[in-house]
Order: sequence, then C-alpha cells, then structure tokens
Amino acid sequence: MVSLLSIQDVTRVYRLHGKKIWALKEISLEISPNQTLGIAGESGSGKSTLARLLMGLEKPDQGKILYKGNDLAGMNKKTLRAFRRHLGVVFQQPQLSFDPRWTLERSIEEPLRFIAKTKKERRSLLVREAAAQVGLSEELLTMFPQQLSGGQLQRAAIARALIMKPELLILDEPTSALDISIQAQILNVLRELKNKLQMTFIVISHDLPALSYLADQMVIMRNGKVVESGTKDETLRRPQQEYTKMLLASAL
Amino acid sequence: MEVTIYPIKRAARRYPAAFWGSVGFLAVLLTLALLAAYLTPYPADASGQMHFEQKLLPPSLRHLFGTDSIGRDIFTLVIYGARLSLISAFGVVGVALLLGVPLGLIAGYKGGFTENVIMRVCDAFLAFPPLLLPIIFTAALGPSLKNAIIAVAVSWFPWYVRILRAQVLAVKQAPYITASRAMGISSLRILYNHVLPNSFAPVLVQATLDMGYAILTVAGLSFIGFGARPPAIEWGLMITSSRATFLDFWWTAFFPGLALFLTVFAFNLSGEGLRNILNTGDVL
Amino acid sequence: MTQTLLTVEHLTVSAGQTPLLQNLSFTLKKKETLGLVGESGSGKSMTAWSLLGLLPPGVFVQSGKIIFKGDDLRRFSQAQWRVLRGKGLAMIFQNPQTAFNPLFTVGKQMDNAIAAHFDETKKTRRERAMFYLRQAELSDSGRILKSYPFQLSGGMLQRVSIALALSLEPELLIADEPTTALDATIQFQILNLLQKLQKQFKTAMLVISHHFGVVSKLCTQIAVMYNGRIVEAGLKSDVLNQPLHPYTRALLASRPVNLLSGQTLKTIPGTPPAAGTVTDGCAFAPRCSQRFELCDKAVPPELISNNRRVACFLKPKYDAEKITD
Repeated sequence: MVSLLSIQDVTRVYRLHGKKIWALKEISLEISPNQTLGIAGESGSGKSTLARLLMGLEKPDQGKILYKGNDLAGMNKKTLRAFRRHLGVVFQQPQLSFDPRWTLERSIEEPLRFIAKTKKERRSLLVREAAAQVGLSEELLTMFPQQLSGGQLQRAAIARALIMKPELLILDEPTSALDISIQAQILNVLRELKNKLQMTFIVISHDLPALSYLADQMVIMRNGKVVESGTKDETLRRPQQEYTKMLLASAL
Repeated sequence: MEVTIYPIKRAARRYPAAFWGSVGFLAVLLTLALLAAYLTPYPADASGQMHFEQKLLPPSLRHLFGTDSIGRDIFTLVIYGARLSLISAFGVVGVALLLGVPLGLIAGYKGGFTENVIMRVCDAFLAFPPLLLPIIFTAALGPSLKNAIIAVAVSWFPWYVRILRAQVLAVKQAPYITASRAMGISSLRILYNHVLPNSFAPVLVQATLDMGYAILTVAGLSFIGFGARPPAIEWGLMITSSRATFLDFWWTAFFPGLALFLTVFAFNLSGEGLRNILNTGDVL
Repeated sequence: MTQTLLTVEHLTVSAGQTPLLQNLSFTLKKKETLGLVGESGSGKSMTAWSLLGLLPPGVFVQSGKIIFKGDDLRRFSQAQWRVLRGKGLAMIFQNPQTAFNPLFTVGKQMDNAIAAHFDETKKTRRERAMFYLRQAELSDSGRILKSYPFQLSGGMLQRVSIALALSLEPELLIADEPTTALDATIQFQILNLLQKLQKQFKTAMLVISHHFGVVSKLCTQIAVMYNGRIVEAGLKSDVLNQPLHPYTRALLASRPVNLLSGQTLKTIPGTPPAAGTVTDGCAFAPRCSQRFELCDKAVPPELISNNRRVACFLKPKYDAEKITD
C-alpha cells in the first residue's frame, strides 16, 4: 500500500538563546491512507513539532516528508496550496482556534470562500452540512467564540477542518482542554467520523486511554524519537519498550 | 460594521457626561469648523479684513471673545482656526498611521531581518527629542502648515510601528492564525482579515489620544514660526501673534489658548473612553 | 477516636446574588483524605478558597459555617488568618510555576513561609527546609534552595511546593488539581509522593480534581460536586463501584479507561451548568437519562446513611435517613 505520508529520517532543530534544541531526531514513519494513527508522548517528545512539519508549516532540517511521493519541502506555492486542500487541522484550545471577531459561520466557511472560491449559497449549504455532521446546532453559527462553550467550539473546529473534504485530518490534543463529560462527546464525534468517512486521522495526545479509543495504529514518542510503534493492540497490550510500559502504568 | 455601533451606544448611555463632553464637543467643533462661514458673526474677518478702529476691544456682546490687534473678531477667528487645528490633528495622525501601520504589520508578522531593519530605523527616529525632528524637517522643507503636519507625522509614526508590532507578535501565535495558514490562506489575506483587525485596538486608542498632542505640536511649531504662517488662521499662530498684546489685552491669547485646551482635552477623554470600551472585550 | 478537624455546614458562597456554592456540608477528621470531583462550574475550587478565606473580591460567604478545630473561620480576623494559613491549613496549587514568585529563589520563599510560623534560627529554618525537600525526594536540596523557579522543571517545582507546605506541619493539606499541569509520568510520581507523605506525616488531605483517577489514588473518600452542591459522597470503593447518582454514574462511564474494544463511550448530553446557575429543580435534571417530573420541581434533599450520601429523588436501594436540606 502506498503511504499517504512518508516521514524519512526527519530531524528538526531549534536555536534558543544560542543553544540547540533537537525537537526531532531522525524520525521515520509511514502513514497509510484511511487509518487512524495515534501519536502519544509527553511534553518535549516532539509530537507537536511533528504536527507542524506534517502541516507543512515548517521544514525539516534534515530528512524528507513525502506526501503521496512528493517532497513537502520542495513544493512550490501552487502545489503546497493543493496539498493544503487535502488537509484539515484541529487544535488544543477551542477558544483560541477562532478569530474572536468572526462569527462561527464565517470562520467555518473561510477555506471555502478563499481557497475553493465557492459561491455564497453553496457555502451556506456546505457549512450547515458540516455542522450537522459534528452535532453542532445551526443557531450557534451566527454566534461569536466568546459566547460558546469549549465543546461547541471544538465541534466547530472539526467542522471547519472537514469542510473541504480533506484526505488527512491532524488533531493536536483535541480533548485535553475540555471537561471530562465533554471530552467523551468529542471522542464519540471523532469515532463516528472515523467510521463514516474515508480519511486518515492523526491524533496527537498525551491521554493514552483517549488514543486507545480512536486509533488503529500507535506511535510512542520520547525526546524527539519514536520509541515504539505498531497496531493499537500491539502497542498498548504488549508493549515492548520500558518507556511505553511506564507511560501505560501512569495512565490513571 | 454593524457590530461597531452597539458599544458606542452603550458607552453613551453609561457615561453620559464623559461621552458628550468629549465626543459631543468634538462633533460640535467639527460642525462649527465645516460651517464656519455660516455660523460666525464676522466671516469676512477670516479673510484678512482689517478694522483698525475696532482693534483690541474687550469681550462684549458684539464681540464675544473681543478683537485682536487689527480689529478682527476673535470668536470668528477661533472658529475658523478650528479648521486648521482639526486638519492638523487628522493629518498628523492619519499620515502617521498610514506609515506606521503597514510597517508595524510587516515587522511583527515577518520577523527576522526585515523586522530588525524596521525596528532599528524606528529606534533612530525615536532617539530624537520630541520637537527637534519636526523642526529639522520644516526647516529643511520650508515652513508651512502642510510641511509641519508631514514633519510631525514622520517623527511620530515609529510609535505606531512599535505598538502594532507588539500586538501582532501576540496575535500571530494564536491557533486561529495557524489554522488559516494550514488551510492555505495567503499571508497577505491573513494579515488583512485576521491580524490587522485583532491588532488594531491599541493603535486606535493611542491615535485618538495623539490627536490632542498633534494639535499641540503643530500649534507649537506655528508658535515658533515653523508651521502655519500668516495669513493662515491657526490657534498656535494666534497665540504667537498676541505675544505683543496679551499682557494688557488678555483675551487675545486667552481664547485661542482655551480652544486649544478644550479640544485637546476632549480628544484625550475620547481616547480614554475608547480604551475603556475596548477593555470590556466587546467586539469593535 | 479521631477527632473532627474540619466541619463545613450548609455553606453557601455567593458572588452578589449568584450562588457559587449551595448548602455545602462535609466533615474531615484528622488524618482523613477526601477527594472533591467535579467539572468546571461545579464549585470545587471555590470550596478550597473558602476554607482559606481567600475568596475573590465580590465573593463572600452568604450563610453556613466553616469550623476548623473548633474555631468558626467566618469570624476570623486577618491576624488570625495569618496564623492559620500555612500552619493549620496549607495548600498546593495546580501550576507550580505561577505558585512561586519568579523573582526570588525557592529557598528564600520557603524560608519566608517557615519564618512566618516558626520562631527558629536561620540555621534551623534551613535545616527544616532541607529536611522536607529530601522527604519530597529532592536529594540535592542545597542546590534547589538556591534555584529560581524558572530553573526547575514542573515536576521538581511541584515537589518543592509539597515540601514547603509540609514543612509548616499543617494539619490539613489542600491540593487543588495538583498534577493537572504535569506530564503523565511525572503526574504518577507526584501522586505516589503525595500518597507516601500523607501517610508518613499523617496529614489530613483534601484533594480537588476533575479526574477520578487522581482522587482515587490519594483519597479514601470521594465527594462528587455539581453546580455548587455535593451530589454524592462516600467511601472511594462505594462511589466508584456502586455510584448512586446518575451524574456520578454517567461521569464514570464517560472515561475511555477500561473500555473493551468496540464499546462506545456513553456521553452525557449537553454541557455542565456555568458556575452560579440557579435552578428550580435538580441542576442535573436537564441532562439526566432517568429524570422524572419531580426532578424539575424541587432540589433533591440529601439522603444520608453511614457516611454514604446522595442527593437524588431516585430511591436508593437501602434505608436512608432523611436530613433537612
């Protein structure tokens, strides 16, 4: 099976106050289409850096990231834009994920308006479809982020990520900032979407039980390296590495 | 934008005295300035009419603010002077914003070498004592109100660059900006749609507060002969012209000075009010 | 027989007219551990602040009592609070980085706290600080004392918080989301540490968390809060294994832990009420799968029997003694 994303010996270094910080050290990973990959790790593991590289927002200092065989770093503006049409992203903080001056509808339709250049009536239709898909009631679309709860905003964030019908959805700690009962709601929304849609999901989280609920494949990261990887069952039920075992034992 | 009206209405309701004292005063001033020809008792005086027989009359019912050394009605002159003062205010702040906002946006958003260059240039401008740079510019360009306005604006825009850049640095970290970038929205569009609207508030407040200072600075330049020149009618100029007479004839300096004071005060109050409105977190 | 350390009786705390805590009652005996579990708006943090007399401006105790070792804390003067805070009641906070003043070394801050409560020489105070740092498993105590907060990691700084709190020999330690800001593996270590030290120094502990796992590890008793009230309380094993209140049951069921493959999470529809929401009936009724008419009409009274409490109109399965609300 041809990989959707191929991460080959990727290294990413940051320079802070003259010191070098190795966020990713020669990471290699293959991500197949239509699967859900869970990336688990604590702070400093490099998982968020990896997310940024996968979104094409930063380039690796060494190594390559290939999307369907094409090097992300080598893409010109046009190809990069085409890549982004197939990408949806959801972030950790729902309140900060939306422009506070825009209504929810305006935020959700942003890619339709400026990338796909869809006409107004069709946009309205697509936004409502996406909202229904994530269980977001229509009347909330005319409201502003400050008026809405974390759960509602995170649903809206998922709707916005899906509006262009992407092939790849990257979720960076999608439930960490939410109350427990709301986390469960969002996890169910994501699971339902995963079962219904033909998409690749990459979920990054430090919450192993949550990842276990969603992922097919798992990758455990630590200090910029991949410590263990495999199917969910392999990784979580028969962990090979000490660190993985420790991480599992720490899950309350 | 529809959303802008509600905070203003609410402010008018909640703080009537401050609101009407400032915005109201300015609105009245603007009207007077625009319709000066119709609202002043002696419009001809503004175009250089001289009535030596009426010179230096104290305030009375016929001449509310008295007359000056060549017999012109000071009340009329003060109203006409409002024109140039308001032009100074909007001119200076307008040009400074025009220069400062784009530079602040670019410096904040692009960062790196570009940011460094822009900020060091601003540092250079800001190293000068406040009035010195405008004086140098007007001396170089030739004294006139237009040059004074440009000179002050050029000396001031670095403040706006700084303020805007600081805001942009904070805003560009927000996930919603990253979300737009990840969607593939162009940087220019992100700057225009997201960064600028969310960074503009502190600049707006500062600009409103600066209106008063703009008038004072231009009036100051006119006072020392580097700004408006006769026969232009401008408050600073009026004060300087009264240097010879004001000790014995106080009204020749007092009323232009009072007008200056009240206008600057009104702008300051408006700026404070604007800041308070924006701090309540309402969308503006 | 262990004596009662803290009695909270019908405590109502309001911000103006909005009640943030409603009719809260619980007791804590010496050496006992109680966990308060709730989501945002439940009032759990507000409870902790009330106990320390640190309610934010505009928020005050409207009615009820807080009795600590026989003293009514409602009537405490600032001077009395200064003596009590730290020594009688100590607190550790969620974010260790912001719990410390970034401008002073942690050693200086520990010393300030110790000096406020103990009349000891500088040398003795330092020894006290170093002793407790070692108890908190920070062996390089000398170096730690000289460090500034930003030089220490989150985990280390939280250990310092714990050491500082315990160095004052408090009788009650309040931990407000003590590990939420920490990584999973560090969280595990800190919880183990707290567990060990609580037993060692025999401190009573009140743990506030949104996580059942945390509370279950540290406490023998659990109280579940919703909309400013305790809706269920009892021994840990009782509450976790046989939850009586629909909210507790639903909350326990909405965690992905221990879920078999293929099973779907049962979620609670709707969102938790914002702090200060006032309802005619049970606050949970709108989201409850088992509600019936009465639930919307009146606030369910607490039914208490043998330390087991629940505020719900559904009849519990054993004899209950009704207590006035």
